[in-house]
Amino acid sequence: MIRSSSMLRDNNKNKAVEALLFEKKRPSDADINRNIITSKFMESSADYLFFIDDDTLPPKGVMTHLISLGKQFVSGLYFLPSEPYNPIAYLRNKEGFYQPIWNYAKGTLQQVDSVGMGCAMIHRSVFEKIKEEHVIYKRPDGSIFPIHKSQITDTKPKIGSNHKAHISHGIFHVPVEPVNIEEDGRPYPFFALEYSRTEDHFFCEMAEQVGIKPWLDTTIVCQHLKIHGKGYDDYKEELKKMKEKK
Amino acid sequence: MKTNALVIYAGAKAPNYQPNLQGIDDIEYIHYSDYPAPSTQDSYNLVIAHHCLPLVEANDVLKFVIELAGRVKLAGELWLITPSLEMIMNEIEKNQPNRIFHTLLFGSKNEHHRSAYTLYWLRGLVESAGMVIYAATQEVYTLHMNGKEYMMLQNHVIGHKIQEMKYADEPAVAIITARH
Repeated sequence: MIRSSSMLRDNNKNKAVEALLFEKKRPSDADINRNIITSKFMESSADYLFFIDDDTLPPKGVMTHLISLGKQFVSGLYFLPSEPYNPIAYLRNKEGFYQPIWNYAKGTLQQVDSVGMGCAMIHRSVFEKIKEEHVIYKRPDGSIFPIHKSQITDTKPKIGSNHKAHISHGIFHVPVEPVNIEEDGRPYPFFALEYSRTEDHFFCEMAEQVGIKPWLDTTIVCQHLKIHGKGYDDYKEELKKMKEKK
Repeated sequence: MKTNALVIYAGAKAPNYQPNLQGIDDIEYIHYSDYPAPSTQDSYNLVIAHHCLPLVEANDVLKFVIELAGRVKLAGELWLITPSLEMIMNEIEKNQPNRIFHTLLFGSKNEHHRSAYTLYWLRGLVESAGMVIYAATQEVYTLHMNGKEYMMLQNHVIGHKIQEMKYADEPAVAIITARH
């Protein structure tokens, strides 16, 4: 639900930032919440959507700072709130698996392969481009997912073929049908918790499909609040332990 | 329209940016001790301060960076590249004397270093010169010394000029159009 519409005053020279505040609808299901929030954002006239999780404490002036970088998609840095306290920002290794950016240099502003959505500033154009270049399909179980237009080679079902999900030649096949998301009524699936992965990887991969990779600004260091705040000091301690083990 | 770059460098040999600068037609190289040279144009698409900032007195460095930023055309870039002070500090922490790091910190017989930089400091300089930070990274480079090669870290900050010069008393806020 929309909680309020207000002028947030960021802590920087009284520059006002017009913002809509949304309250998450359910206590869990981060993907559904983020999709609802994004849907409301797209209905608004705002240029940027700033995701700030309720357990993530950013430094003062975070919104002004991230907007001033002029990036379409940029994130602050926070850490896993439990061991090994890794940065929640990733680069893919040669095998294609996400690796946290251990040993980053403080002050780095660079593109990465995936970031968490706990402190992310995303320009409207990112969502628009994703929508423009993706088609939504529905699986037999009713779940919906977007796929890039370049990955669709044949939209007609094969008559007489096996219409159950199956694996052949190492590829998972599942029958799908296109969905008109407006008629479907569900928010656009920008985020999805699928295959035991977090919803932020899903979004970052979709953005990458349209040529937009997230930037990470390590001058924005957030506390990740759980029982008590976890952050940079815990990460450094873990890094020290890892070096000692070597 | 032709694009151009100015590289201000330190050390005995000019770096070779030719193969790595796509979209730049002309590159002008000037040693820091010769800067500003009479041939220097008013404006460039790209200005690179290649390991020359440590030769500048700490008190004068902001003035120098503002001057460099002033030479950048609108929509152009300023690159500040210096040895990584973070790397040097890490080595100091090990407390093992090493001439290479001594040289990186204090310079050589011919070129005395007067300042050193972290990524944070470089970013601050670029922002104070009225530019938007495009990227700030730490990267590996090869240091040639006494006929040997050493793998070192350098700090590399890219400033993007998206508006006419603004100075430190006017922070660059709420800029929403930039190079994407």
